[in-house]
Amino acid sequence: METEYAVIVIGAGPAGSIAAATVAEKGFKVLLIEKRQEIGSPIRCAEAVTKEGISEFIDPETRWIAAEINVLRLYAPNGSSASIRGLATGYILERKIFDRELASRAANAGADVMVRTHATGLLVEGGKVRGVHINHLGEEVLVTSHVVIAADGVESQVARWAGLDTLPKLRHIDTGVQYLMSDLEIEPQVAEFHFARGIAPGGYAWVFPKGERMANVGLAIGGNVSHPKTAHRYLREFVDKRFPRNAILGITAGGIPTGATIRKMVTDGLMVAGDAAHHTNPLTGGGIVNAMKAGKLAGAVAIKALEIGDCSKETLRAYEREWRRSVGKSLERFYRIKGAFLGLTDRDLNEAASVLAKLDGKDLTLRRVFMTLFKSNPKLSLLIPRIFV
Amino acid sequence: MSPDTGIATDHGTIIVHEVRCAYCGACVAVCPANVISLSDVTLRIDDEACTACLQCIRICPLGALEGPDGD
Repeated sequence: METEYAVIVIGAGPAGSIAAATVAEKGFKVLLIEKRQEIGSPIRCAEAVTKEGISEFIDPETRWIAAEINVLRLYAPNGSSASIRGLATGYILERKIFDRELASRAANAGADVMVRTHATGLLVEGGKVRGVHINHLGEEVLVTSHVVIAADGVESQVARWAGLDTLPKLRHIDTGVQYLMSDLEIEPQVAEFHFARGIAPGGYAWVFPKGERMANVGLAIGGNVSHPKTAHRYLREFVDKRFPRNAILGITAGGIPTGATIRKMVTDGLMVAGDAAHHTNPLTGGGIVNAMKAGKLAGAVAIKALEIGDCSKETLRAYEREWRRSVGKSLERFYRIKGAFLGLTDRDLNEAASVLAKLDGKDLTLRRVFMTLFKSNPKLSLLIPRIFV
Repeated sequence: MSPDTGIATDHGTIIVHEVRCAYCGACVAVCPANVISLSDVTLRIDDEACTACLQCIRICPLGALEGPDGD
């Protein structure tokens, strides 16, 4: 196999595949490696994206869209609900097909793609990352590079090998479990969000349709409140009430970074993107579109670094700066909103639902929803200046 | 050892119940000592380097990891 590449991308999720495609399109030699035996499987995701977010990267295709969402229904602890229309429309993806499509685009742009290929260590010379030790089906190979893009997910080790701090505190990572369920009485265009301390402390439960009678039914809870009662036990209780019949076609689990983005995203010859860099939205836990944005940005900065022949951290820092200027800023805002959310009692949430229910049918913006919410409760109104700065 | 008891580390601290593990990597993410390695369907804890901080047990969504006192 080839052992010299301009860029090695580790992890063929949305961040890695977009990064690989971006660099390969410019004619540079790219290697994209994935440790799993099949890209996109097993999924570890609730699969929801906004149409707006995804449209920047790819035209919608029915092959990887399981459902179209146009109503967000928020359930309060007392069971009352508020339906929000027009705020955001989205898709529930079929990630197995979607991820494969993105990786195939990287391959079609000229990137070499390999599965069952682990990164086992970094080649560091004079403090610079110059390559990756990989293991492909038992064969150890050293592959050299000018830039490594670590898109190796929430369990990222690559960035840590390079000396970057990607370790989340337990209160900055949610732990989630999800069933893929069938034979459900649901509205296929409605995404349900269930909020209550008893259902999902520090997080929420969701029902994301994947067709007429099928849905991702899951929940995530704070990593600091998931012991001894596990996320799975909370999900079991939720499902027993909401969909008592066992019609479970799949189970998936995972950690979701919900703190702030890691402080340093680059070092000499290496950038970190996606879940590995905690690019997930701290409030919603959503990370697909952000990962794609990070991949595209990292790819663009890698191209520039290769063109000028300088892949030092000083050059690569353009990625970090651009990220903070664009997406990072909004994630910081969501991080503050999450902080406010964690302070809400079930009573606050009940009140919020009844206020939101009155907005039903009105033309909504996210700002309007939050302003209405927080205005309803003097305690919460104090939080407005912190959130909307 | 029953199939459900998995592997105890030398510390006798962390037990991996492999039949409950979904190989999701949440434990790997929170391990401050970087001693947990995950591939498709194997999860290994490097017992010599484990500091027994028990973060992995607290994060596991499926309760697949167990501490010394049955935590």
